[in-house]
Amino acid sequence: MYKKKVFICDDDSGILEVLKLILESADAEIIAEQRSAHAFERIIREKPDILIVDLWMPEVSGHQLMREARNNDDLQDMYIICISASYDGEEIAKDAGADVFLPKPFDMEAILSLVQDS
Amino acid sequence: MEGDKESIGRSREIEEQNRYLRNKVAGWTSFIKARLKHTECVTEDTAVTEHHKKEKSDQFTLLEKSSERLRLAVTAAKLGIWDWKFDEKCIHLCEDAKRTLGVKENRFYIGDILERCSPEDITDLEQLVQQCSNNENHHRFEFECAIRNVDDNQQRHIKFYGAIYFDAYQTPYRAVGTVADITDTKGEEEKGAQLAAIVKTSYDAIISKSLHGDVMTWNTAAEHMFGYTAEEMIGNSIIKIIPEDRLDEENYILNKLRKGETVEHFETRRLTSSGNLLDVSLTVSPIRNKRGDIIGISKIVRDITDKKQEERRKNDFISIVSHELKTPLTSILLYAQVTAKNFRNSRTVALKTVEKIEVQTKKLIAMIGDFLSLTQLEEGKIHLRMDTFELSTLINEIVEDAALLDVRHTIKVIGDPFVKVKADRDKIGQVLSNLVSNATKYSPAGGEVIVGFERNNGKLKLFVQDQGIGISKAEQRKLFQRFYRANDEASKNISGFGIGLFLVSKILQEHGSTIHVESEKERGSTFFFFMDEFQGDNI
Repeated sequence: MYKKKVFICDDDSGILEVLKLILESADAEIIAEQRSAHAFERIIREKPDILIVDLWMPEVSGHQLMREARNNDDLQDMYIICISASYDGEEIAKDAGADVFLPKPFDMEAILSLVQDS
Repeated sequence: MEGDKESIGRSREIEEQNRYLRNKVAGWTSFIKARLKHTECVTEDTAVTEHHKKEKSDQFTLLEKSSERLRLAVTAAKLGIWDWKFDEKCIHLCEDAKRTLGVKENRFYIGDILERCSPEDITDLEQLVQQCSNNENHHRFEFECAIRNVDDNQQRHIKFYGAIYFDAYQTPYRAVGTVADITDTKGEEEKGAQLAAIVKTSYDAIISKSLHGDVMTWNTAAEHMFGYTAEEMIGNSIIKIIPEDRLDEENYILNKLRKGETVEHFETRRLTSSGNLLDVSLTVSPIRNKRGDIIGISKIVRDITDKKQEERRKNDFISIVSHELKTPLTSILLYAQVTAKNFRNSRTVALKTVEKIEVQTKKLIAMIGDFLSLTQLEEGKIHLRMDTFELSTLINEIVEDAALLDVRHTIKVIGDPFVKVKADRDKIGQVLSNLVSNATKYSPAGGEVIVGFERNNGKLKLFVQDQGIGISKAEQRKLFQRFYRANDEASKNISGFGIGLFLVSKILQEHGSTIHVESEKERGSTFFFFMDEFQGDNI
C-alpha cells in the first residue's frame, strides 16, 4: 500500500514529536525537521505529498518556506497545511500559498482527517 | 527788537480776547440773572399777559416731565449722581450716590473717599486726572475702584463716569457724573476671568462650536494639539480635524446632544494640521442660554495617544503570551488524545485520567481564547469568519465538553437538528460555552441546565437556562461590563475573570444581535439572544 510522505517543519519539538506519533499511527511516512533553515533543501530532495509547516519560526519563516515551495516546479502537487497559534495566521498562510490553515491548538482528528483526505 | 514787538503784539491779542470773553460771560450772567428774576417775579407781575402765563405753564410741564423722566431713568439704572464744584471743595451727592458710596453726611469731601480706596486705585486716579487735563477723551472719564465700607469694612466695586467742565479761561471748575455699584458685575467678571484662565492653561483642548459645527472658541491646548491657531479655526468648520472615515460620528454626537444628552469619554481619532492621527477622548456637552435653549456645543478633547500606546503594548503582550501558551497546550492536547486513542478499548483508569487531562486542557485553551478575543475586541481587530452551520451540532459539541467537566448538572439540549444559521461558528461556540459554563458555575447546588433554541416571531431564540442562584435586577444592569463580577455573598466564592459575559455581549454585537437576561434571585437565570435562521442552500 502506498504510504503518504508527510514532511513536518516546526521549531517546537513537542509538536513535532506528537504529530509524528499521530501520523505514523495513520500509516504515513514522516520526515520531521525542527530547523527551518534546513527544511527547503530536504523538501526538494524528499518531494513529500504533504507539508505541515508552522508559521513563526526562527531562521526561515513558514511564510518564506511556503512561498519558495510554491515557486518550485517540482513541488506543485505538494499539499500544504499551515499550523499556527497566531490569530492573523490564516491570512498570511493563504497569501503564501497554503492549501489549508489549521489554528493551534487543534484536535488530533482534525489533522488526521486532513492528512488522510488530501 | 523784532521779537519784542511780536510778543507785545501777542499779549495784546490775548488781553483783548480775555476782555471779549469776560464781557461775553458778563453778558450771559446778566441774561441768566434777568431770566431767573423774571421767573421768580412772574407771579407778582400784574402786567403779565394770558399768553405769558400759558407759555410759563407749558415750560413748567415740560420741565417737570423731563425731570421725572430723568429721575425714573436714574433710579431704574441704579445710578447715583455727583457734582463737584472745585471751588466748593465738597461734593454734592444725590441720595442714590450716597447709598452707593456708603456715606451719610451731606457734605462729602474727596479725601473721605480717597482714604477708603486702595493705593493702586489712587495712583490710577492721579493718572486719570492728568489725562483729563490734557483733554484726552474730550475731558470725559470713567474710573473703577474698590472702596471699603465704613460700617463693615467690606469691599465693593464702584464705577464713576464723569466729565470735567472748564470756564471761559479754560480753567477746570466743575466735574459732574454718575456713580454705580458694580460689585455683582465685577464678581461675574472675575468668575469669567477665572474660567478663562482655566481654559487657557488647560492641558486638554477646549473648543466651543455652533450647532452647525463652526468653531467659536479654540484654546491654547487645542492650538498645540491640532497645530491650527485660533485665527485659523474660529469661524471655520470643525470638519477640518475629523478624519474622512469618521465624519458620521459628528451626526451621532449631534443627535445625542439634541436630545439633551452628554457624550462622555468617546474614544476616537482626530487629524492634526500635519496629517497625523491622534487618539483622543471626547466629552461633548450642550451650551445653553438662560432660557435653556441649546446655543452651542462645548467639547473637551483629551490626547490619549500615550494611553492607547500603553494599551496596545499590553494587548501585544497578551497576544504574545497567549501565542506562547498555545503551543505547549497543543502538544498536551494532542498527547492526551493520542493516548486516549490507544487506551480506547482498554476501559482502564488510564483512559479516564487521560480524558480528564484532555478536557482540562480544552478548558485552559478556552480561557486563553477569551483573553485573546478580549484584546482583539479592544483593538477592533476581531474579524468574523461567516459560515453556514447546524446549530444543534455545535450545541451538542459544547454540551459534551461541558458534561465531561461537570457531573452535578443534567444538561438538556432542545432544538430542531437541521436548523442552520450563518455566523462565525467558533465565536458563537465561544458565546454558548461561556453561557453554559456560567450556568453550571452559578448553580452550585446542581439541577438542570437547558441549552437550546426555538423559533420566535420569525427569528431563532437561543437560550441557556439554569436553576441557580439568580441575579438581582441591580446586578443585571452591570453584568455585561468588562471585568465585572457579581458582588454578593452567594457568588463571592465562585471563580472567574469577569470577561465571559463582556465577550458574549461584544461577539453578539458584532453579529448584530444582543444578549438578554431574565433572572430572579434563588430561582435561576435565562440568558438568550436572537439570530436569523439560514434559509438558503447549503454551501
